[in-house]
Amino acid sequence: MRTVEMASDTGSTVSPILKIEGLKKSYKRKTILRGIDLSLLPGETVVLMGPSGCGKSTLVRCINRLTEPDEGRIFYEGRDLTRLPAGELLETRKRIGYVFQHFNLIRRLNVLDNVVFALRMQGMPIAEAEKAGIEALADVGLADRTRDFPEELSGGEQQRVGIARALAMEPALMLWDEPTAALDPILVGEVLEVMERIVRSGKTTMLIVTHEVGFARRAADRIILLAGGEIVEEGTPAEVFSRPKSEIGEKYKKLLKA
Amino acid sequence: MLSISRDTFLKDLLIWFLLSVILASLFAAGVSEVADNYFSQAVAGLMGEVGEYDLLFQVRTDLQDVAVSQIKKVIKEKLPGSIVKKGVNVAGKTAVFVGLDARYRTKDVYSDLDLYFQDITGNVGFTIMTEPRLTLSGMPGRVIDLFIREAEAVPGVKFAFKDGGRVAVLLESIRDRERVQKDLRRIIDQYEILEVTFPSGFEVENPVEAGRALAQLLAGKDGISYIRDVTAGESASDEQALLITISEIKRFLLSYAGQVEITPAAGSRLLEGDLLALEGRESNRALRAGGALGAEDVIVKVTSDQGRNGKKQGLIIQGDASQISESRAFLVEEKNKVGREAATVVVNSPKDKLDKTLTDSIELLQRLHGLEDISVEGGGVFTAAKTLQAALRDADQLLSGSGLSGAREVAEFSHLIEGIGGQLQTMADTLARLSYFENRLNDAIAGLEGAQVLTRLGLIPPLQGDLARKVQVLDGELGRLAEKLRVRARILDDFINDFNPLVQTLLSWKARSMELAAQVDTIQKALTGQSPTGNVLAELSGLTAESLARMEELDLEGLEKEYAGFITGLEELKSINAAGIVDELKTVKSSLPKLRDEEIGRAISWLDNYLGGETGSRSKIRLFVNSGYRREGPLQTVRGFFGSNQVGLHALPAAEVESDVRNELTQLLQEVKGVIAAITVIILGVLFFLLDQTPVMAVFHYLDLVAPHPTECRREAGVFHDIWAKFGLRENLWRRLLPWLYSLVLGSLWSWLTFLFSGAQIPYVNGAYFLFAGGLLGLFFFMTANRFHQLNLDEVIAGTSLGLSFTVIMREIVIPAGRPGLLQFLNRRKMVMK
Ligand SMILES: Nc1ncnc2c1ncn2[C@@H]1O[C@H](COP(=O)(O)OP(=O)(O)O)[C@@H](O)[C@H]1O
Ligand SMILES: [Mg+2]
Repeated sequence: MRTVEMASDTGSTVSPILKIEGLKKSYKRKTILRGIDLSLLPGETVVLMGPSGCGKSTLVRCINRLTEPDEGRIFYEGRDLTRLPAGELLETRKRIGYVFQHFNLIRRLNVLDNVVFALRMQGMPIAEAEKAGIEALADVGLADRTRDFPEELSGGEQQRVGIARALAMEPALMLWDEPTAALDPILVGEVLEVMERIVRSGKTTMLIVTHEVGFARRAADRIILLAGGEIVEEGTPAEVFSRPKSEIGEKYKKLLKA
Repeated sequence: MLSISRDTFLKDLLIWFLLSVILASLFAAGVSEVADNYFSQAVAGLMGEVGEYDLLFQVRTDLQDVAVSQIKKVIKEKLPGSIVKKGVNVAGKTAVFVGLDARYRTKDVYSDLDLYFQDITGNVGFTIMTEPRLTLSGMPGRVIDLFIREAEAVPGVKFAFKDGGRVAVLLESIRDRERVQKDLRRIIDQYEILEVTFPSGFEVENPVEAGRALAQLLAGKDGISYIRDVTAGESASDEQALLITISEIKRFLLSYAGQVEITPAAGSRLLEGDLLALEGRESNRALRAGGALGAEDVIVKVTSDQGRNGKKQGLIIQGDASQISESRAFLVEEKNKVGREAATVVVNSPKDKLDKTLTDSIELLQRLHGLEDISVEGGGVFTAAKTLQAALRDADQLLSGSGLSGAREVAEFSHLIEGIGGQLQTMADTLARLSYFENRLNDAIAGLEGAQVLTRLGLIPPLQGDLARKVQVLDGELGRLAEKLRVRARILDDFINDFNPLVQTLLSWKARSMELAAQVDTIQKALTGQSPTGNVLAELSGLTAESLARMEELDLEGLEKEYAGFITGLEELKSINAAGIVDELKTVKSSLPKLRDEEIGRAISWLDNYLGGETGSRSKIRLFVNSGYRREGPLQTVRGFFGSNQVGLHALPAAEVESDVRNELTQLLQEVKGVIAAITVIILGVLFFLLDQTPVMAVFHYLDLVAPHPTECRREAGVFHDIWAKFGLRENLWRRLLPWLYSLVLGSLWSWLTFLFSGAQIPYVNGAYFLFAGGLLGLFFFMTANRFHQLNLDEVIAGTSLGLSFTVIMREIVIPAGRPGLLQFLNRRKMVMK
């Protein structure tokens, strides 16, 4: 964990890995994001919180353009993702790991194949890919389940495979869209544990959408509260959870106490 | 991404497209071919191979054995070498096929087939199915002859004949069909039928009259060079029974009517339908070319072209056979004008023959009772002969004994001769009467034989019930009677032949003797006391001796015995119930239709029209004209004629060309084949799209996901952006339309090409419809793709987030998750993660 000062435009010495400027997104007549500005420094762990339906997923999806934003710019490692031609976009996506609420494993592939799939598609030789895959699976504690198929795993195990799949690509940025929301409460712990380990390793920059307040307080460098399509509050876990400025912040504070 | 050379999923799709089109085409073509084969075999089984059969009889199934044996009998008698085959039973009727021997496929035979097969028990009717054949139909009965003539002039046409109300045109070869069909169409196009239409409520009193009058009015005007009134209407009912009865009546009338054998004059060509005039007995002026036709003249219509050695058949349509006085026939031109001398005719009137025969027979039979007189008279001959013999002996004695030495002897001799004279005359008279009787007897025999022939031919109508049976009995009795009479006639003939020379000798002897006796008398008177000159006496005595010798030669005894036999024979004849036979014959005679030939002829023409589908009732006024006339002219004339501007004139095609049954069936099968192919194409299309295209189309609903498109590019897409935005179309219109276009074009092209290659065909539906329908099918599948293919969007999204390309996502995620099909099969080669 590293402490990073909020980068003032001029004074920052480290350039952000991800910088979002004026991001807007509407569906039909309904505006979801009303102009989001957000920067992530390399190695930083940011937890994005907010009520259901406030647009957290939309924001995360816009980052690697699983959803096309309407307006605004998204700089990743200094390049504007919104203007990238298709080929370069694909290359960029490979370096942005994505963990889904519903795991999104390929059912026809076994655990290892799910993990090495993208590597193989990049042209990596099987042996090398599988070595990397088994490593990634070991990181999430599933080295012994390589030949199993997704439906043979529990939810927590499936999500850990999803995490291993993202890790295997050695991403510089990982996007997490409520990775524990679909899990049985008993299984949440094992996933959070893996997540904390990754955070602690400090290898990747993390943008995590989660309702796990405890995890947020423990792991986050910064917490961002989203409501009504806008960022309503932003600060360290201590700032946000002990002296919340927003209504939504108050709710999380209460949630934490309980 | 659209580059074909690169190994992309689009290339996979292209290969799939080509392969699926080829496979579907082959399969559809195969299926239709198999179906076609099956049906063709069924047809061949049903109606034989091409040209195998010529006639198809529909006989009652319960009577099929009788019918078949009768058909076989007719064939053995009239058409030896032809074959018979029983076909299928359908609805109580059995099909019986007859294949004519090649030499009977002539116009003559086809025209007579009705006659040949008229008496087949249980025969419901037969169809002529000789191939290759084309049929002209729908023309008015009155112009059938015209079409036969014109059709026969077409090269490649073997001959044409009237088949019901249609014209059957038999071809030399099946290869000529297209061309002949074209030529026939051209012929048909040369004519038109003009139908007069009336506003509702408009009544025409006598359409037939009006039609005739209109034809005269229109002829020669406004480019109408050919016109025939064909008003005598349309078929009111198609009752089979009525038709059969009418055919039967026609057949009877035909055999009863005066048949005219026409020998065309050198260099004159007569056609069916031509009219010939013959001078009538009662006509007061002679027929001559250029003159007018009289009401008493006899008119003959040429009915058949096919008489042997250039001769033709004709039918009397005005006057009667009995009226004909001359055998020279003149062509009738237009109305009532006599043309050139064109033929000589021989009239054969079965009607007259029958009548005469019956009259003769009746007369003879009535005289059978008068035969006793004859026998008594016949007996007189013998008395006379004996008296004569005695007298001759006396004369001989007188001459050879004392001679005619004195006046007493001469007077005695003269007296003797005069006495012989009476006997001799009696004898000669009797013989003459016997001879006359013999003639009558011979006439009667001929008559009886004739009557017998006629009863056998079934010419005596109406052969029904009791009368039919009586006629049969009569037939037998006539035969027996004729035979008996023949024996008598022969005896009588012998008798007369024996006696006649003797009578002649005696008569000349008598004449000479009288002469010589007179000479002797004269000499004696002149030279009193002198004896007559020796040589006169010698001659007289010689003659007498010779006559006597002749007389003695005659076996009078034998003859008398024979004659007695003849008489007893005659007695026997009386035992025949002559009166009964006479009564029957009288009944028959009185029941013969009392018709003149012209009446029969007209009736036949009318029946022909009826059989041709026309009757006189409820007729529309129709005129048969050449085409190419000026349209407005006739309409004005017709309106003027009826005095109404509401009257219309409707042009109808003169006839239609139809193919033969097999060709129609073949065409139908061709259509069925095409339809089967089309159905297969549709089924395969649905199958291919369902299995292979629905996953692709389902993904195309998320085109943005798999084929990202930069936001900024969209914004900069052009001036239309703002307009689209107004309609809520924020995205690039082209991109939004792309999946729809893909589905539309793919569906269209796939269906169209498969349709083309498989030989699919649906009547009235051309390939363009398949383009259209295929497009719709494509769109339909695009719209419902998610229902047919449960796309796992999570997997696609995962793939996308991993930076996988569209091609990889399709090959590795979407297609393997779909249904097994051609695309999945092809995809296996491309998959990395097996
Ligand atoms: N594809 C879409 N079409 C229309 N509305 C959408 C779509 N995706 C999300 N939304 C709407 O946008 C809003 C924000 O959604 P989301 O970003 O998923 O919220 P959350 O903060 O719970 O993750 C919700 O009201 C959701 O209904
Ligand atoms: Mg969400």
